Amino acid sequence: MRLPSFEYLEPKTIREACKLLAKYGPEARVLAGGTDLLPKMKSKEITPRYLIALKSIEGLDYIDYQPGKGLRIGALATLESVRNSPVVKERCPVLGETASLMASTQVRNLATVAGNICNAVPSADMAPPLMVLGAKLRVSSPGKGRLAPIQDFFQGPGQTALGAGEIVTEIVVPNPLPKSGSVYLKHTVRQAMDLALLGAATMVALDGKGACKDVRIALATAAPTPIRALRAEEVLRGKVIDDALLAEASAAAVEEARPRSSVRASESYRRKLVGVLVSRGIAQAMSRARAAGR
Amino acid sequence: MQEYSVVGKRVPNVDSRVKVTGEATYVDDLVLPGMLVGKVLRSTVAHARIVSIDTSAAEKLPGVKAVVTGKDAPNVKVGWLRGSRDRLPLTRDKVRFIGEAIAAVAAMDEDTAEEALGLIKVQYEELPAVFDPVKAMKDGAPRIQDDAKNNIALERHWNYGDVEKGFRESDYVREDTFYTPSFLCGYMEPNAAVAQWDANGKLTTWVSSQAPFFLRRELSLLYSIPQGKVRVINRFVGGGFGGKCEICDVHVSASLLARKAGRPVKVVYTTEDEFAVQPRRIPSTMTLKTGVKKDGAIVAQTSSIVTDGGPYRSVGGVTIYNHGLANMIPYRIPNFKFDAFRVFTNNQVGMAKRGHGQIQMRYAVESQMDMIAEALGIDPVDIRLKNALKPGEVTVNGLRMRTSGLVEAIEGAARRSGWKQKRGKGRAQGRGIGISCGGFACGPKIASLTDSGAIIKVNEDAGIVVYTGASDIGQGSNTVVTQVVAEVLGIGPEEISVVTGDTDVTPFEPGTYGSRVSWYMCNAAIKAAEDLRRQIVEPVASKLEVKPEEIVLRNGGLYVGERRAMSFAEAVRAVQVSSEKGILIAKGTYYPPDVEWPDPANNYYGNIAGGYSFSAQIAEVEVDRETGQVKLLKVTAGDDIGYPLNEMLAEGQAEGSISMGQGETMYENIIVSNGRVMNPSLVDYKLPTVMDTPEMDVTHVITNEPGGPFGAKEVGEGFIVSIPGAIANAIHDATGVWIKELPITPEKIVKALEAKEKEGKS
Repeated sequence: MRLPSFEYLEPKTIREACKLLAKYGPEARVLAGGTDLLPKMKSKEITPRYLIALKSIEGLDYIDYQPGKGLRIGALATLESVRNSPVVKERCPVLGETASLMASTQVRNLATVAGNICNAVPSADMAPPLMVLGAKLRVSSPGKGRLAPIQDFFQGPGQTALGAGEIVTEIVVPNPLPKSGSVYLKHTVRQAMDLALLGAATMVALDGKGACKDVRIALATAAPTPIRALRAEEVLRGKVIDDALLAEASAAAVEEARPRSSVRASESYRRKLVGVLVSRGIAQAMSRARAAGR
Repeated sequence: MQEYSVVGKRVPNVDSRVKVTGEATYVDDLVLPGMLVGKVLRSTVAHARIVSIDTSAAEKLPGVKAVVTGKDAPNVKVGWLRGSRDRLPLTRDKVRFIGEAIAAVAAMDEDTAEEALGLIKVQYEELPAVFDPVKAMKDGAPRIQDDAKNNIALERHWNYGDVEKGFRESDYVREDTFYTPSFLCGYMEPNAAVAQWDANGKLTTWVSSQAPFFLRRELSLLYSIPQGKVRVINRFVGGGFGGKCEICDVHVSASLLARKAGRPVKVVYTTEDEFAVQPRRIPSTMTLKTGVKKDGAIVAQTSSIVTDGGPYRSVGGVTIYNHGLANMIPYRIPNFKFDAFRVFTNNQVGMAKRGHGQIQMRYAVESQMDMIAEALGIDPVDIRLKNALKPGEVTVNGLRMRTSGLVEAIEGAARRSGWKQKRGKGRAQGRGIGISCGGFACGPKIASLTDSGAIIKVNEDAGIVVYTGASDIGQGSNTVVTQVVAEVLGIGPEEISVVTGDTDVTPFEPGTYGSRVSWYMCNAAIKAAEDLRRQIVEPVASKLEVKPEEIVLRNGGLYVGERRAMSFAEAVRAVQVSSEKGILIAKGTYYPPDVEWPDPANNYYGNIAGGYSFSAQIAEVEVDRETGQVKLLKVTAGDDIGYPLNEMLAEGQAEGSISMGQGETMYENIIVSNGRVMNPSLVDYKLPTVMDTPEMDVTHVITNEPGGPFGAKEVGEGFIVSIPGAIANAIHDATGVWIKELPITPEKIVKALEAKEKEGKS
């Protein structure tokens, strides 16, 4: 299938890009890596008249860490660069690990983290780890920009909280909590180049006595959008996590998940996976947290 | 193991260099002056009468040069075999599956052609459709073809011995039903064609085909022109696996459009086209009833199959015959009854894929074999050794096993895998090990003309050019033919070049399918090389005043005893300048001497091939009981391929078979709902990646098949057929559950484990 015709716009600044987007509204789409956008255009799922390419905006592909500001990932930073970034490995290793589990090298060299988030599919792998890390999205617009918690970003399949003329230009990841660990577990049919039948990110922070000081659980493909398993978190928060509590928490996550059946997997199997992955993820995050505390 | 100087060596594939450098060109790389781009319009409904097709808007679109519908095509039905020519190349009055070609457009560029397709208006009057072959066979089901009552496209019934008596005499009898879905052939290069007609009415078409001569025949029949007016040129073929044997709408639309436009036209299938119309593995429901003695010896078996062929006969009775053939190899079954149906449905057309019609049945038989072994408390290795066909045996349907290395293959694989230490001991750790066996006919006789031919010409400097009609689709036939010819002539393989893939140039060859090429084509080439050797040696012998049989060709020279009389090039020169001979041309044709067509009038009895390969494979898996995830850790295999003509290529065939078989067993499945493919992309149709590939250990049992070229048998198909059973049985060893339906997905394993747990509690 061929790409339908469109006009390719190359703004040189973020401001200019936002203005173009505001001007053309629903007739325009923002292009970063294009690995999700262009296939959708080829299948005529969407046929925008304008593509606003961010690629001519200089310096948007940064991955940067500053003690006060945390980790910042520019809109054009690719999955492959996140995967190989030493600073990501040092500060938020779960993000690099997640990138490793995504797509193929060729696709990772094009695809961006911001694009994965803005495409907003239920199976977006980058969403759960960014959610458990408490990431915020820097949203630029023709007017005043804002910093939006990723938590509230996903509104439905392919639907985000972005308003007219708004573009995600940076992802800000705060410093992980002390004595904490995070993991992302992705269940796929084969061992590479595959979509998540279920994805589960977990973050556990321990207090001085080894009890769970804070916990976050986020799931991909468990609902129409990436979601937090808030009730499961509630079961664990403030408690010493043992096998019984883990079973209770994963049961709560199974309960609050809202997966659907598709050609890829049935609803009941996805629910089963929620339980297994949450339970395993919490256990692994805990052992990372313990190691971090040493 | 006998040593040859070139045969059996790890000679690199002659095509590797141009392929890895990207120099090799495929159909899509071809550009001719004035060439147009063609696109095919496909049916969006599963079963309908075509009320009207309005192409006027498409024709008016600037850049469009030709639009064709079924009415532009001759009213001639095409198909693979005489008994299966039931399909108009572009349908006229009816569509019978989603994706059937209705019209085609040629335009200046691809975008215009695609836009024009969108302007063609087809008005359908939908008809009731049927998608389940069992329902399709019932009275009152929608009729898909006028000549087929109850939608039975073809049926085959064999009956050998007395199965009822056999079951009465058995100590244990069980019946199970298995299902295998449709699988994609999964080649890298899509089907494609460039077609051009010249002023004399000759059609030249560049294609990617496993069987260019069959394609020439179908195009000649379609256009009612002699075969000499059709030239089919094969370029490098980017894989086939059975999916490029048949004429398909890519060939027909390119030639129809080229004729109408008066310009060359190229048509290349998109991935979506491939999922719609690529000939794929036929879905099969197989019910097996098997009776055995206490010691596991098979006494009787009935095998009943219903296959979903889609709405056309395609490769005809071969697929269902092959299911029965797979019952007959590699175990001894004294009493056997076979009832097979190919049924019309409104799904996509089922055809051949590597292990054609046999991998399905081997999966069923090998799974049931382990169920029987478990019930009787026999080790799965032992029950296979008990039933394995041995050299000299003749099966009840007349297959003659002159050689069989199956017993050694089983024993060797069991030893090397550590079977005894591992079997039945890993369940607590989620580990399992399973065995399965198989075999394959080396080029079954399925049509009247299945001979191969080869021509050799000698260059002025004594270089050798071999002409064969065989398609090298990546398996390496161009390489092994240089090896066998070099061996006969005592020269290096680098002295030999191969010309293939042009029906105007090479001798006839049915095609690269049915594991026939090494056996048939290499035997023909050996005969041609022997003819050439005679033409060189006889005049030289009289000059040297020795008997021709005293001269030995080796090491690039002619030897009398240990004395090197002259080099090969000197001998050729001597003959070339002699007045009687001059130009050296040699030929060879081959047909196996003791092969019989399985005659329906004689209960389909007959030795269908000159030799039979065997394989035994042991798979080791690790299963995550909570998620059902299976990791295929290792495959240890033994095969009997007679003698490996090229060890490196034989390894490649084995490794490719393991990977392809793994995909069908664990991941792949063309999901069809109401005639619509639900996963028409490689995102959701999951081929195994290199990360999924297990460790592999393959060892050959050398049996030196007397009729094979240098003792070789087929390699590849006899190997792939035994993979699914090995993995299925290993999963059972790890989990205790049987999955009687491919693919064995994690979800199915989890469900089966949950059901088993419930059963245990109640």
